[in-house]
Amino acid sequence: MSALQEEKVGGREFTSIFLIAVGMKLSDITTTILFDSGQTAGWMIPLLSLGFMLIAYVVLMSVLKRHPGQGLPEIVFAIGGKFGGALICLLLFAAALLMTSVTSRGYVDIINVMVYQRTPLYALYLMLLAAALYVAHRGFAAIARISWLIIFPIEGAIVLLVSIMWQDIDWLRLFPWLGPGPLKIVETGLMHSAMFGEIILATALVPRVSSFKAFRIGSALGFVISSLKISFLMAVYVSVFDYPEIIHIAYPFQQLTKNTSFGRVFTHAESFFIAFWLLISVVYFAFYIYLLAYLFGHAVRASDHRKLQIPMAGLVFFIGLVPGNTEQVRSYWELLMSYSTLLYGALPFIIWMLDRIRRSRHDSPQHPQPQAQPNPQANA
Amino acid sequence: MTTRQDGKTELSAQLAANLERLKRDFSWPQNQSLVIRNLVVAALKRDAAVLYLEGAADIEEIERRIIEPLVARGPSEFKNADPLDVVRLEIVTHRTGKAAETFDEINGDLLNGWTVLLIEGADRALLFETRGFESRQVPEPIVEHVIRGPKEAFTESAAFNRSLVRKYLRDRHLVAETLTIGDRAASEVTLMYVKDLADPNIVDEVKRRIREVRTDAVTSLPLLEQYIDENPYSLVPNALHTERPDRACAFLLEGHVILLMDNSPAAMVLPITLWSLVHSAEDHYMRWAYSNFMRIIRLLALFVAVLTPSVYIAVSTFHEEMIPSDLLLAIAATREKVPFPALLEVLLMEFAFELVREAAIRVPTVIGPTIGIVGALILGQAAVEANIISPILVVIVAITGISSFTIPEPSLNVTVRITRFILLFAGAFMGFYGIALALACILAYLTTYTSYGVPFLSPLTPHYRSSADMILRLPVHKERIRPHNLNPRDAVRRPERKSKP
Amino acid sequence: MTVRNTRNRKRNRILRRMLECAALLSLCLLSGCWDKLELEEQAFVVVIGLDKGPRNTVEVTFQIANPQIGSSDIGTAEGEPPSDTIRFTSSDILSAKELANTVITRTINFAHLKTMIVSEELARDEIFPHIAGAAIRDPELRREVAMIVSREKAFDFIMKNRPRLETRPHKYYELMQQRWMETGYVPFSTLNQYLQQQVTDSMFLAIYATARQHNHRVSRHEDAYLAGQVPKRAGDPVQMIGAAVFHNGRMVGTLTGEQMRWVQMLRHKASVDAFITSFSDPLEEDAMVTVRLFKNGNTKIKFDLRKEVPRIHVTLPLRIQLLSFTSLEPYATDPEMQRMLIKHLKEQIESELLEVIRLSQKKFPGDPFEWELFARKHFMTMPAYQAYGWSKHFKKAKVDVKVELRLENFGKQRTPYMQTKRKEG
Repeated sequence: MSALQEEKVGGREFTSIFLIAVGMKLSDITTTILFDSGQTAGWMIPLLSLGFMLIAYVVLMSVLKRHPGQGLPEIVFAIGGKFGGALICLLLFAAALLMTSVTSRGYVDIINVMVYQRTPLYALYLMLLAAALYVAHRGFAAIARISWLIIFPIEGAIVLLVSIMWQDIDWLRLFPWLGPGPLKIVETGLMHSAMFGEIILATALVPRVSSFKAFRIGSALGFVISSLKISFLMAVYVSVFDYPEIIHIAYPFQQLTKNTSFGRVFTHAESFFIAFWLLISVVYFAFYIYLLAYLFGHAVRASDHRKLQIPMAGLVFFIGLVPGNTEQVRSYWELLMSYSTLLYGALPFIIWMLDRIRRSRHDSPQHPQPQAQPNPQANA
Repeated sequence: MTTRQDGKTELSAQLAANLERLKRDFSWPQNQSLVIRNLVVAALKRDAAVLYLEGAADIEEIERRIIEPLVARGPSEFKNADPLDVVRLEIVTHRTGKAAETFDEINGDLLNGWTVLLIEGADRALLFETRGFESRQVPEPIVEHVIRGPKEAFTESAAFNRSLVRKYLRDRHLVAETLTIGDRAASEVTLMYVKDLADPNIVDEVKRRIREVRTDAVTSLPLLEQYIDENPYSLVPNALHTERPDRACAFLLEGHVILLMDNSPAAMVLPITLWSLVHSAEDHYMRWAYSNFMRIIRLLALFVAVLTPSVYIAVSTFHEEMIPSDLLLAIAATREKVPFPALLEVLLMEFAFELVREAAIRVPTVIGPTIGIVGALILGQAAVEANIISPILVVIVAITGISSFTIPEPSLNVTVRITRFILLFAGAFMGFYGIALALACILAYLTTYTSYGVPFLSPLTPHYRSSADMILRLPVHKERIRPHNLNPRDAVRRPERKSKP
Repeated sequence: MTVRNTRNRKRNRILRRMLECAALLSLCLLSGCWDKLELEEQAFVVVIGLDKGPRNTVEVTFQIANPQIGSSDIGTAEGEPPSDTIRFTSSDILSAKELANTVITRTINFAHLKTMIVSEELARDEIFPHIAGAAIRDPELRREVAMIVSREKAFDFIMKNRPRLETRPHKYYELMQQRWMETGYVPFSTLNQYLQQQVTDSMFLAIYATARQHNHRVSRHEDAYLAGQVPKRAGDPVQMIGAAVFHNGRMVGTLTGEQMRWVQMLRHKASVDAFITSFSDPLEEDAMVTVRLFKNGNTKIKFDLRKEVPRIHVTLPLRIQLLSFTSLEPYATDPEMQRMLIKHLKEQIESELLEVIRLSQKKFPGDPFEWELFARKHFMTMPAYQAYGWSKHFKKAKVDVKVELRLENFGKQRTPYMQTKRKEG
């Protein structure tokens, strides 16, 4: 098993992790919140957010290129020193932790409201986290491989869903296509860029991927395609439900699946799609638990971050139970979004600056160029 | 007789002493298996004794090739000085002949069917390989049937099996290494692999595991499989047994290693992946369209066998909206008279089906067919009419059972059956939620399960280049590459063709 | 550390493992599994009826299917009715659902509810949008539930609806759904559309039905009836034809079957493929020409919103098959007569379309043709569109309709037999 932990993940698997992890946002509360401000132009917002986030991503990539084989925590420790590195890692960890808690609570809410009304929330939550924990425990390789395994059936299911609903789609409902006005759209896009914040967090996993090129292509491709998917699906939601009804619907994806039927015989096929959705949400949260343990482990320089997975899951569980009801979850999410956007937007620039300072200090004639030291944390 | 430093006892130069020692070792005369034939080597005018174990050695070979030349050949000019060399090189016509110094070696070889020749005055013995264990003629495969393709199967003789393999794969790089295991009663294990194809790491790993086995005796391959298993508690098998030499050779050509032993009419293939377990031999003997059709059916059957009961329970107790209205009302109508909850019904039926399955294996062939009829009666009509189960459940369980029979490999069959129960409980507990969570965990387990370092689901995940033969296959001339998950040394079966045949 | 200690520890560890597994397993098997329900313990409501009750309550009628009627021999129970209908008075649908369990032995389940009948009285009441909007929160009540407005009380409608040829109650609505989509006499209305169009400027059209026969003079146009006016005798009592028109969630008027069909045609997305209708014969006053109309593409609607009075140009591409004409004129063989027929039909259709449009402009406060979607195209932002106020402008609009007609075939008879006889004789 330990040999497996060090095994590197290939490009295909890595891409599919992102296709799943980011693509999942089309099926949760993200879309509802975006429709609130975006109205009929809600589908444009993911594209804008991606655009904003990509700028930060490119800046961060330029720093990563200079430190081959090292992930974000290692670089941050190298250029920020022990204190700076730990601070940045902890900030990222805190943002990721809160995000995971709120998102997982949102998912459990969806399951509670749409499918299992009588089951208590904590039971659903526990089961989900237990399964995610098991998958995370099998290692990053397990998460990556499962993603690759199920990505095609998942995309196929989405295509199937859209084609079943095709007759109910009326593209005219997308008009007026600037919705609340271009200014509001751009503002919403900017403030919600953190929905693609995983791009920044993902750079922590560079050492686990087989090559930097694979990482770069995988993450870029994964994010761009996912954002296109989210955008398209949001357009489909508006075309089927129409504004203003779309704002009143709590969970558009699940509602869309409720309208599906395979022919006249198998009506109410939503459980079929819900099963797929549940499967990928397990992978999704397994990825996050792994990432959380990884970040925290690096922040406190733990020896084996795998042992931290159980406490991480526990933390997520307890924080996730804090909001009292679904609307509170929404408002926490919004709040978190704004702060995270600041973090994810500013951080790459800060790192870039620190890196620049360090480089200029090392390049100056008083200090000769030191030998490149392999970072001892690189194999964790 | 001196004892060496390593504890082994050397022979003495006196025939009588050696004979005494051997008689004592083999409990002669109570043990009538040891046969001693005293004779005089005419050419040397010395006493000698030929010993062999009845049942282990081929008597005719001994008589004709060993005893006859010894007794018949008269004295003449010999090239060699040492009487042992004379006998071995110039008198005995047997094809083998080696010298042995210690009793341990002699005892071990006697057990393996060798013949011992002791000569007065020689402090070494001559051993001739005259293995002659009884076994069947070339049988037809019992478990792995094919409609088209060879119908030969392995027997319980390792030598015979080796010869079968060599008949199918005439490659000078095909290597057969022999290892012994077992402290009390040594058995031989033959390791066969193609030297310029198999990954040396895999071969070394297999050899290491076999050497580390410390036990009394390992008499057959299934026992050996369990001794060298790296995950003994796992539900997923680590190795595959095949009784067909053609299948064994197909695996050899991909870079696998096979193990052969006496008393096992099968070859054990290592390492394996899920695809090795799911493919049948026939897939390559039929044309592209036919074999893909069968593969699709088998793949669907695999899903049906694993998922059907759990999906039925999940849908009927948690997600009733999925069933079409007419069917729903029909099921509800028939279920009204049944006293048990749905889960108990399914468990009862599954249990009964498993009983029938087990009974069908154990029952003597004479009353075999009766079990099928009786089973069908009990499981079908009678139970329904007695309102113990509802009719749709008979359909569900029957379909599940039949689908599980399409799985070619017995160990995977049991894996599927057990997984079905796991998913059934998950589905009964939380409906599709339970099934989805359980499936995620099962997938996580499968993708990180390795068999001798090869991931179980490769080359699907992690992705390796492979011949286009994983789920569906392409026509044979397109299967150019060997699957890379085994890390073969020569990755290409044949070079790229520029034109169609 | 003696050998016995290590052995004990190992044994304890294995024992603990086994206990954990046993505990987990028993949890799986024994617990109530909160959402688990056995099939036969549920009462599947197939039709729900809503009536106005006293003092702001609503009377909810449940029609529950009996699975044991119409199933195979094994499950059949003699003497039980195919369905059970029962009515409760409560403040909303979901509390009525709970109340139902005081009488009904099984758990009420809306999983297979596909039809909702609302009485006209309730639909016209201002409380109706509140009831519908409140009920939709329950995930069991689906948005694709078909909505039917009945002229009389929903309870009476459901009680009277006992189709002779269908044993199971849900079968009737399932099969009728197909008929709705084939004939276009009624709109295919769902709760989803009702909720959507509550706040937009489009008007929601619901299926209009009744189980009572109202007297009405027989019209030459076979579809110019409302529910209850169809001239029939015997057979099942329920008729569905025409539409109930809603605005902002309340019913404000009706449309006959004929008008409904034209409304369908004027909408840009065809929900009905083809229907059979009849027009007056151009040559003989008393005769009628029956054709099958197909929509030959999407209705093209062009707006000119620059002036205060908007101009709307509608182009409707149609193709028709001539099915029967009682005048027995040689339309099929004579090209000159064909041209005349086509021109006549075109004029007829255009005039009927204009009539429907004018009717909605005058009688109804919004447009039932979903043209507001086209109006939205002309605005960049939602606030701009909402400031425009489409309904007001629709009432003032000048509409002209152009029909592109293509005559496809004439059926399997070329000339009427009388024609040849007349020539001979």
